[in-house]
Amino acid sequence: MAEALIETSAMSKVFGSGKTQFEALKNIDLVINKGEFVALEGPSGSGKSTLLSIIGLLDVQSNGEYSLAGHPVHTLSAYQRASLRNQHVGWIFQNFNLVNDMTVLENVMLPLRYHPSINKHQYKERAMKALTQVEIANKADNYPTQLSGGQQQRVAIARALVTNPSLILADEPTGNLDSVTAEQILAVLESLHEQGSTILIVTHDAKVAARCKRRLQLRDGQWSA
Amino acid sequence: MLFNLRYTLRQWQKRKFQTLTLILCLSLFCAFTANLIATAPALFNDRQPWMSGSTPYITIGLESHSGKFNPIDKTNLDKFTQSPAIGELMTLTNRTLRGLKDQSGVAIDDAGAVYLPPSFIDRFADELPPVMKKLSDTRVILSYQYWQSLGAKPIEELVINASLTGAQLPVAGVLPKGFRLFQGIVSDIVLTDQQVASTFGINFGANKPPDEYVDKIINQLVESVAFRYGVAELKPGYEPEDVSAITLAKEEASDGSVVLLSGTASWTPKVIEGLQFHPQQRQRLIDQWQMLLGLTLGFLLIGLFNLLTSNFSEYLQREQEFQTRKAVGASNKDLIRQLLTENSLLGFVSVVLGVALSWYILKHVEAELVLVSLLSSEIKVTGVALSVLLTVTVVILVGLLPFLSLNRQARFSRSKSNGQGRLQRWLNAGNMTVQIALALVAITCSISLWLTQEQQLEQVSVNTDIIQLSYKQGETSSDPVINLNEWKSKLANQPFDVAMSVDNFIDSNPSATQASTEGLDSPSAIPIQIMSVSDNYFNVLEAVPVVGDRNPAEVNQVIINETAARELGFKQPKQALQQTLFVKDASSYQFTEDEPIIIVGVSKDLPHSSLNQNAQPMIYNLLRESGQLLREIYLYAQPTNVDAVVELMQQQAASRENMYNVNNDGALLQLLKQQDEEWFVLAQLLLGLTLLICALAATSLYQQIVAYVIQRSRLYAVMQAVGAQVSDVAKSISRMLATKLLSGLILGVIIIAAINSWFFQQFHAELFTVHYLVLSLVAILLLVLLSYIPAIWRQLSLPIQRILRDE
Repeated sequence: MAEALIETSAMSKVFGSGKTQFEALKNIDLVINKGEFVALEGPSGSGKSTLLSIIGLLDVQSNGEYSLAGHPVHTLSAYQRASLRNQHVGWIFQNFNLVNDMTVLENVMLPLRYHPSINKHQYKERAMKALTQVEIANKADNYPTQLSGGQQQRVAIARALVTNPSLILADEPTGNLDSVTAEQILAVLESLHEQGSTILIVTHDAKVAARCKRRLQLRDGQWSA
Repeated sequence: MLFNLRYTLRQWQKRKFQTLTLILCLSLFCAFTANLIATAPALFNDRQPWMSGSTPYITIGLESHSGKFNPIDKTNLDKFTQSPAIGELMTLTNRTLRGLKDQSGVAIDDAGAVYLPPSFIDRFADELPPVMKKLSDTRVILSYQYWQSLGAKPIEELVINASLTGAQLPVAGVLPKGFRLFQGIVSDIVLTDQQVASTFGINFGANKPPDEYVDKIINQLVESVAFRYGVAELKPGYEPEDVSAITLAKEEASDGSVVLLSGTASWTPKVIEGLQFHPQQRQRLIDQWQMLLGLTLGFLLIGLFNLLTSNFSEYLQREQEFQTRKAVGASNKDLIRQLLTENSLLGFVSVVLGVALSWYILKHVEAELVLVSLLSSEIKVTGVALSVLLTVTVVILVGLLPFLSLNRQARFSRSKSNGQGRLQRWLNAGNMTVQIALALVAITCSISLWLTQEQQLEQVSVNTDIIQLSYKQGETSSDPVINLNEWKSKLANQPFDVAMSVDNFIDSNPSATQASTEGLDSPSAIPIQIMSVSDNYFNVLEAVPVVGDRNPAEVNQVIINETAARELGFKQPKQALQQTLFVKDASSYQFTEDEPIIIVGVSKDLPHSSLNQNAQPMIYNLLRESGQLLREIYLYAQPTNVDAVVELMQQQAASRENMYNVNNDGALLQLLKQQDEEWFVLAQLLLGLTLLICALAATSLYQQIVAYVIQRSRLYAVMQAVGAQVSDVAKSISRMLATKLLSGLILGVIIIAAINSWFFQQFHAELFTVHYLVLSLVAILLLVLLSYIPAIWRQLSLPIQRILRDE
């Protein structure tokens, strides 16, 4: 039987209060098992980025339950959530979010610096391995501003991989890329899935969603049929 | 850690100028704080820094009408032994030893000598350096600095000859480096009181004067050595006020021939708490200390404001970096650790530079600032440690505040709020105003202090080109009496005018007495100082204007200054003319109480003490052959006549076997500048520091405008996208700036008015004028423009599509 990595039950998220209160997510039940390759689709404002932020431990649900890799998130402190995020989640953003004042290598090493059990002597070796995996190792000493969009996204993927997380979250990973580069990035993600990674992609591009093994549709903060 | 440091340096690289000015500002705070802490115990304690314990001591001296604390003569000091409140009375004496020679007979520098009673050394044996125990009635101790100035020879080779008394002073040891026996006075040589008694002698040479003169000379020399203060332990249960019940004996009637210039007639005994030894000097130092403290707090305030605003702006610019760090697993603690490293490095570099600067200040500003030169000249480890700790703590705490405030608003989360925290709102609202106000105050203070000093110098009511020459008793003293009649006749034979006085034009220390126009015992009598001058004194000095007569011809005619006229009750100076003046206890000036004195002229106040201090009421009386035993006189002449005057003085000295020294003291302008040297130095210092403050203000203003623009960059980009011109965006930003500029200027002017009021109360002079203020306003507008243009340029040079896409 497949082991559940993400489990949510009647999870909701409310922004604001009083008259300006807005419910972005409503009673979301979700189970994603280890090794799945899932697409989360929906129009703008449907709540998919909010859901992704909660799953990726960057935000907290207002109600309901959520557990990641067996850890009930609502019982965790901010410190514990950061720790869990570091060890279990790899984030890939649409706009890459690389730190421009760090080299490519330093960007990839960044998550390792917050990892409690990885020896610092291994940082470089592991970062180079991740860069090799996404075929960008030759740019290790460059700064992000010296790279193309596709190269920057490869670095972002390498950074997401470097801690061997149980879950990779990609928020519109091809949104800022041309079709050829987007194809290359999708190929990298597929390759990671084949190696056993659990991947959740937020997208409103049907072509990208079609490459995933499972598709989830969100509309007005709820699952749509 | 290494990575964090490297990353910090990269951040600094991005804003080099700002970081540099911030470091400089904080390091100056650290340096000044270290020095202020080092000097504070000496200034504010009632005991010398080397003294421990809490036994109450008192110092006894004399207080003049102007509050000056002065030495007390032996006769009157001895009266205090009657007081039941004090235990053993110890006398401390200081004087300058002139005409010293080393063992081989080569003249060496004059020395500030301190005479201690053996009981003093016994009392403080455990607290004083061990070398003090070597002090005996035959051997002296040298300060480290004086020993160095003598070539740091081995102690056993050092014997100092006091040629005036013929005493030989073998050196027993040297005080530790940096040790100062008494704060506020020079103590190059430490001797015992017995040394004076046992070695006192006068070499009269071949021209022995008549016996009655010998007695007078000896009396005066004994008295001149006895510039002494009393020190005693206060017995339990007594307060210093209990001691001051002792009253001075009425001065013995003078025999008309020997009266000391520093007579005690108008002085009262003063008992002060602790062993301060030189409270008058101390008050002067405290004034400087407080001024430097104000400056230091200014550095701190400006530094912290800059740190706050620059970090706010920087952290907002690094928003994406913090979000990313969080996304990859960094907790708040991790982020704080990174920022802690960045701020600690800033603090560390600042304090390293600060400690170096404080050392530099002590080493190189020592000669310039009395505060430093007369107090502890060693940086204390505790002072440095305290200053370093204070600087680093403040930098770290204040440096982290913007992050904590922004983080609290979830600014670094994906679900960030776009609102502003209270601190940020406060900073946005008030900081620019405060920065502009502080910069305005700094610029105005600097311009004003600088120009005021120069202007006051220009407004001195005498011809400052006039040269002062002095004729002083030299090494030997076979005939220390200056024959004024002889001088008068010689000067009268010259084809040009030469004026004379018994006191230096500046730094004069004439004795004070009581004067009134109503009678000898009138309750309205005012303390007044008397200075003896020749009848052509005001003519030669070109003192303008003088109401009435410039040349009093009769012995009972005097000129007073405007302050005296005012304090005597005359609203207009000319109202004082031909009025009768009664002067009490001034027989040394040959004023007899039954002979009326007529005011024949009123002069402008001459700056005898300082350009920045209120003038004292002054009587200028005619210099004439009297009972005053003169050992020095001053001559004043036009620069063109100086060579002839010097020649005349040298002839006169030669006729007295060169027992007198002839000195060209310099032009009055130079002497006045020397007199107020610390003010001129302070003005220079302030001018230099103002440049730094302006640089800091400029970077801060720039950072604030940038932060303001960043927060609204999307708005401006959208404005431009829908057709707004560049000028429309600039106008929008300018409107915000104009309000804060105006409020900053108003605040600045209010602070300036307050400072001006304080300055006027202290020094009775306006520090600022409208002219200076206008100059400062122009400077501040330039400063704002310098900050505004690059900040606007930065925004407008960004591609609109990039701003819109990034958001």
